Amino acid sequence: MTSTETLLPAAIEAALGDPADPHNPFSFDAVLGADEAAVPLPGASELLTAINWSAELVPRIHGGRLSTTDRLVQLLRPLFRRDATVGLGAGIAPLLSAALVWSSSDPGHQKPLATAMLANRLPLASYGEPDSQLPGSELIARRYGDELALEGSRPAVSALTGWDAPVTLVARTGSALGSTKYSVVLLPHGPKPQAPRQHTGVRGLRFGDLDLGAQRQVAQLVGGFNGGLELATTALTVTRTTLAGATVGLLDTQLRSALDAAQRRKRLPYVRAALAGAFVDLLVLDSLATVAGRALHLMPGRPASYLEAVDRLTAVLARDVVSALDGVLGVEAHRRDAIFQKHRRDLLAGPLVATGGARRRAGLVPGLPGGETERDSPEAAALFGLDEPLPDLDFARLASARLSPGDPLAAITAERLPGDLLSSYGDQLAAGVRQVQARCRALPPRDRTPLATPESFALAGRYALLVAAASCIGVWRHNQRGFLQNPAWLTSALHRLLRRLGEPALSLPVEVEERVMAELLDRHSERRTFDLTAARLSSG
Amino acid sequence: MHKPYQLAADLDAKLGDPTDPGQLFSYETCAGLDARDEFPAAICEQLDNLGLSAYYVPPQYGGALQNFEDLFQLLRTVARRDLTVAVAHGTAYVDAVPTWIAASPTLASRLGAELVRGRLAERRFQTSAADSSAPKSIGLPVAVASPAGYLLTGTTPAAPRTRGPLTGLLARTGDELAELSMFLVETGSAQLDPPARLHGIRGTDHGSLTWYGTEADLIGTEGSGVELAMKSRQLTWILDAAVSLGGIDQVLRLALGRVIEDTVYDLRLVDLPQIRRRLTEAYADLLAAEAVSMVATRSVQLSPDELSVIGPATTVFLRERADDLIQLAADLTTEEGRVGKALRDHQTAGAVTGATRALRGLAGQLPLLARSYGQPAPLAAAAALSTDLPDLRPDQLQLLARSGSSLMNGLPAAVAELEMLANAGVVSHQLADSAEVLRSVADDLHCRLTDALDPPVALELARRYSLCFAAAACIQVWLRNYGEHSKDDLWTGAVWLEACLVRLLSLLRVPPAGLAETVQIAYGRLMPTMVQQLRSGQLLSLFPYPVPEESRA
Repeated sequence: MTSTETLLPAAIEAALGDPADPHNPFSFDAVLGADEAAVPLPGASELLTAINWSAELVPRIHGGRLSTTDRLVQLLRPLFRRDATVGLGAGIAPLLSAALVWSSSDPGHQKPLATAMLANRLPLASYGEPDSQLPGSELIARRYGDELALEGSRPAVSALTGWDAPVTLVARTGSALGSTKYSVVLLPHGPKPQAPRQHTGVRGLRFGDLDLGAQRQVAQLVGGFNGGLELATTALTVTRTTLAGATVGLLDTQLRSALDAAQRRKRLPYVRAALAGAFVDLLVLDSLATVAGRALHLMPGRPASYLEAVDRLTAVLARDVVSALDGVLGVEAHRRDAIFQKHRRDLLAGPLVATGGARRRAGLVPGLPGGETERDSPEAAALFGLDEPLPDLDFARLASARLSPGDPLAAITAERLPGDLLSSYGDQLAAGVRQVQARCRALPPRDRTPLATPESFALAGRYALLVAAASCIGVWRHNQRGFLQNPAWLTSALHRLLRRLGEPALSLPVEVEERVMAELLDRHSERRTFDLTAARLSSG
Repeated sequence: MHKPYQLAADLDAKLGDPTDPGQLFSYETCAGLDARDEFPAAICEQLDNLGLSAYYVPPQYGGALQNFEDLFQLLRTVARRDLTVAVAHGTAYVDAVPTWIAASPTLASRLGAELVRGRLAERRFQTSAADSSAPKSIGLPVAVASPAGYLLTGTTPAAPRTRGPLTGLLARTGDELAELSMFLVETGSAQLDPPARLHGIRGTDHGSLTWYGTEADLIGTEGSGVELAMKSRQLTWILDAAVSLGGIDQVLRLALGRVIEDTVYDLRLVDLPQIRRRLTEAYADLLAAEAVSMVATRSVQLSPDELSVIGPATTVFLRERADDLIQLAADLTTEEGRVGKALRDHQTAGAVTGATRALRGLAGQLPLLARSYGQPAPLAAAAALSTDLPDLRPDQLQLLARSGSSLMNGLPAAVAELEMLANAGVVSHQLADSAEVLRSVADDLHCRLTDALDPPVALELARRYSLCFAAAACIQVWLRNYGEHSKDDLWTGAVWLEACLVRLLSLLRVPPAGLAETVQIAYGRLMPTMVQQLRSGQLLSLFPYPVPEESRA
């Protein structure tokens, strides 16, 4: 396959074959075996080479096939449904590293990296707080004329193929209190860590400290000196949004496992409620992540609060889905010969790989909108319409865009929804949006820093739920086809989001859960995915 | 020091510093055992030698189980080092409970002697990496009466203890589904099959056992098996909470140590208001969990007829707090080793012990609880640590608490007491106001507990019930004991109680009286004690004592 040919999610799904077939090298049994042995799934790397996977992480302007995050997410879903370790190791981690370079407008580094990647040399990703002073995670770069000297080490995660790969690192280059400066450096070969570690999740990958003080490194500066912050922010934005979308694939398998196990118990009210609820949460997460991904293309100056909302809620929803299904599966959820517990552990380590360790940092600044409404929002149909074409992702434009303090999604909740129940939910949400906006306008500047009060974090949590609600409403309104046009899922989604907001919501009629459950069971028996696309799976 | 805490402190001191790899029961040993799926045999033997097994046996059968609180605090101490070991060792008690409740004295003495001796055979099968070990057959073994006694045939579908010489299990004694009886049987003559391998508590001891006409002793009467199993659950639910509390102890200490050390943006993490808040909330959770445990363990002997409510309410509250706190620790520390293991162990232990059944069990009793709410309640002796405990009377265990929960029924009076103390200047008015808000939440909750609840709604209300129950426990524990702690910063002015009530209200998603200021003041007063306990090498606790763990702060 040449780099310009199109790869479809169905082709990846087909290449991975039937997960239940014991003779399939990519079966769940094989995935579990690799996890137990703490090695990457055997053959996965070769399979990805055969389909020229690396090209999917190289933007089209650099000769690859990366066009939109939407498309990348859809391609990652089959990998995440099967083995998140492969999806993280071959997709998310190299993307984080490469995105630092794609964002830099620095053709001198972009071209060689693109060439290396197209020849299947995917970069490693480093993680951890760039300015943490914990031993083993601080990296300082100093400039002496044209020379760049590195001191310290950075934790990194191995590629599927091991440690011999290029790596981009964020180093600290200035340390005045409150205005720390960073620069991005690229190493053609990362040093092999001394004592690699294993985590509870993604056991097939290794985590280790790249010790850069021990030997002289040929480090190249990417972007300007002290210009690392914008690059890092952009790389994290793209990677985290992509991961949120890919996580839907992992949860798809979790829900399928629960349905497989609960065949005889699915009439029990507790079990039905848990399954239907997990399905709706999965659709909410997909709506949120999909709209967030489309926003990267259509609104490069999207507010930072938007990304925080996606991040925050992805973790919450994923955790809630898994724990609800845990209740359905009982001890089955914990069997080591079943995929559920592996996926669950991978979910824990996923953010570590995806955010360069910024998981904790993300929790340190409340992402809140400025309280203004956005004037130049994109066309709603383009933002929410799943089949609407998107321009290619422009990393450099994302990096240079001035972030908007506005709130693009509030407008959607102001539109009236049909039917008594939906419109009552809609009114509650719109009131919630107005309340959050009013409180955001009144916030002192300190509340947008790490020194923010816990109350503003709580406010950010509310805002995230409202963004999710707005995404669901938009997706429902602008995709009048199939199950997506059925108000049942939206009704249930808004009901669940209102409950999470702690609002007293009118209770859900029985028919709504029955309709959602019927769709869930249909998709299960027809072997279609539980996300917004309802795509076909490899037969099993 | 309160005697159960003294016992726990002694055990802890004898086990040595868990961060020292030279100690047998160290974090490092446990991580190694986990990696190899190995039963912690040497550690269990050490615990036996230190006399822990004797606390599984009531005194009339030769043991030291005078007091359920002792057992709880000892097992909590074990769980603080390692959840797997706590489950592996504590299962012996869980397995023995039906015998203590209903068996003949001769039979009970026989089991008691076995347990006190601590003679545990090595595990007789090896789990191999390849097998997938589905249960062999569905259904329970059948016991047939013969002149020589009952003869047991069939496979246990559940996962009983395989190492001890005796195990308790349910078997069919008739054709009807309800005709189940509890038996005590020797494991020596059974065929052992390895259990399904689980992702947490990897080294624990269980498996399926198959008998071919083995003699077994009936516990209680024929057909009483289900009732006996349910009554036993009431006690073991409370003990499950010891495992959760030990997990909380372990990860909170770890997370706090890390956060105090770590910096970001050139600021100490612990100085960031949001991080401080989350840690202080976690500490308040721990203290509330301790108060709930204390009331629950003492109720075992003081109000056994209420355990059908107290057992599940306790386990539901502690499990959820532990799940939350272990997750918080995982978020705050990128070091996943011990936190990751605690997370897996706690999740799997919950599944094995049927934690979701506790919530459903509580949900099923809600209408009954609504009817009895408001009845006058006796003074909460279970909360007063100076009250002597009567012996456990198993015959008083009831499947349903007919008069509800006296702790919950006593909430209005306790809130009025706080109001009086606020007027006398002993506690703050904010505290009394928070308590008043809680009372109205509890009133409102009981009004909603009607007969026809949708199952998901019932579960949500049961969860809220467990939070109100915890609040009532905290209030009573403070009220009944503050006089003894007049020089203690944690107790004077009800510092811990104020923070716990604020925290419970936020879990109930109800704003406290006075909103943000109340919350800030309450947590602001609590935080210094947490840091002080950590820095001085004390247990993070309402009743701190020095722990052998080297402090990293």
